[in-house]
Amino acid sequence: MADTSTATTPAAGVDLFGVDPDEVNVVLDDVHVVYRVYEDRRPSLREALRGERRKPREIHAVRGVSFVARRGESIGIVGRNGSGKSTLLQALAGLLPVEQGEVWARAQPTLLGVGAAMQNKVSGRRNIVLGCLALGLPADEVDGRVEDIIEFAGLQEFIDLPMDAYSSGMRARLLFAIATAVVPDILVIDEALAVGDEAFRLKSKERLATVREEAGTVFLVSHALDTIAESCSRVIWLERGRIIADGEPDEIVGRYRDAQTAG
Amino acid sequence: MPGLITPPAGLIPLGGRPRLRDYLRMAWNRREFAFNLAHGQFRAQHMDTVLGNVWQLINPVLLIAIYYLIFGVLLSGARGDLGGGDNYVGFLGIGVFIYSYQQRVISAGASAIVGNLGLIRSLQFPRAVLPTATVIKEVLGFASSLVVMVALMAVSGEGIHLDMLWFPVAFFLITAFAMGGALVTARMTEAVRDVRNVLPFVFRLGFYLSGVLYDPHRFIDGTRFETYDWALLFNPFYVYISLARESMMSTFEPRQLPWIWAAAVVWAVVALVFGLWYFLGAEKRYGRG
Repeated sequence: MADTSTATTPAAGVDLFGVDPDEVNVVLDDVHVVYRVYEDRRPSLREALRGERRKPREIHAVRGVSFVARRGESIGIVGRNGSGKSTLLQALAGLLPVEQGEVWARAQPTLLGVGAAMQNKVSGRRNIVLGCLALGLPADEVDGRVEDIIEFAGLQEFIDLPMDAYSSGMRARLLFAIATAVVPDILVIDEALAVGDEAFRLKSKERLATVREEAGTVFLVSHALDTIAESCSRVIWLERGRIIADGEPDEIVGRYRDAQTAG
Repeated sequence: MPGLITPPAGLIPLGGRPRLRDYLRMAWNRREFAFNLAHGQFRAQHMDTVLGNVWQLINPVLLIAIYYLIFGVLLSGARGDLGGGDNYVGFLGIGVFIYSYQQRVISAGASAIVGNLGLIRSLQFPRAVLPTATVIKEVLGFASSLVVMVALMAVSGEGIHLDMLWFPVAFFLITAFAMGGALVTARMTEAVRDVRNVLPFVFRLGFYLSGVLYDPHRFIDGTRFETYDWALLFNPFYVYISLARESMMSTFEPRQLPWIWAAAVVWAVVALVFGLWYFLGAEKRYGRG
């Protein structure tokens, strides 16, 4: 694999993989993420009295990932279940502490995950207002945006229903519409587009293009390889927490697909 | 090996704790969010009852009536003056209102993180906004208590007087202290949910130790103070209840004045600084467990 060496170790003397420093939006420098998970059982009374601490199991989910993301790039991340994709995105969004290495970014990334529900008992409309305020929009601007967001999410009929009455696709649409109402500098999407229907897929693709045009960077994790191939300008293939390929979408997706069918 | 890549100027490191000044500025920018959230929670909390938010008023009135019946009427001859001189009902009323306000703020803080996991997992914002919103919600709820409290003063013989203008200052300090407590319970409950089950007992103990029903001075020999007495007198809950009594009741003279205002300010600053420091220590972890 020719591109492996460029992906994991920078050539001596070449900083930032040769990218112009002004173009850089995100830098990951040898990032390791380790989960500590406790076994799903309660300590027995005897263990507790002896003061035996439960030993967590360590899961080394990301093992030394380095890359540099430019402005205007949209980067797809592919890999099998458990390859560390979602973990990497969370570290990228600053939501998970890294065990080793550094994450640098030009602005706080906005992470969109699947299954997030905001306030379940509250109407979609109020969630829009709350969401915009939580993202730091001034209150006088929020009123003007609510209708745009409702329209973008395509939820005109359901907007006054509480959010727990929504389907998972409707929720994802609403959340995507809120999170991108203010065009973010760095948008990180974890499977959140997979649940939308065809019409919404087209609309969200347009919005991702807007983020890129405004010099932002988009990261996208998805198992829908066609989505990745058509809306990304670069694809990173993760396997067991390491980058094994990084390059042109068509090429990487093709190779990934071959590897899946072969394996 | 990290350090192979030198990040260009203008990039910020992620995952670390933000500088306090930046954090507070981001939180301040979201004050509308805190108010909006608080208002929504305030309206929703008694929505399933017939009387709605009137319960905010009825609850403490019923409590005061019960305590007055037992300690002011049935047991009135047993120990003489419990506190407040001729105006035991006013003394008791302020104690119950102020103590239950502090209890509500600090207990509500326990749900600030675990009750808003949906928001936390959906959007990025400074998490300290959430306990702040619960405090605002309780401040809104206190408005009705204030009306009853002033009315109680008027009918119980204190009248309406200028000293009452000190009450907003006292209330500000009380709220600052309770907010510090809410920040602490917010993080503790996020780590160990059982905290919510323990809190009612802690507050029950505090209720009897903080001079809500009786003035601890009645049981302290004024000439020699034991450590235990100091603990009783400088207990923040007692300090704040006395502060409120002092501003609302013209007949009330707490004997440890003028330290009481100093104690109130010190407790508020200590609680708020500690609470913020403690809460921020787990900022990145909220919403993941």
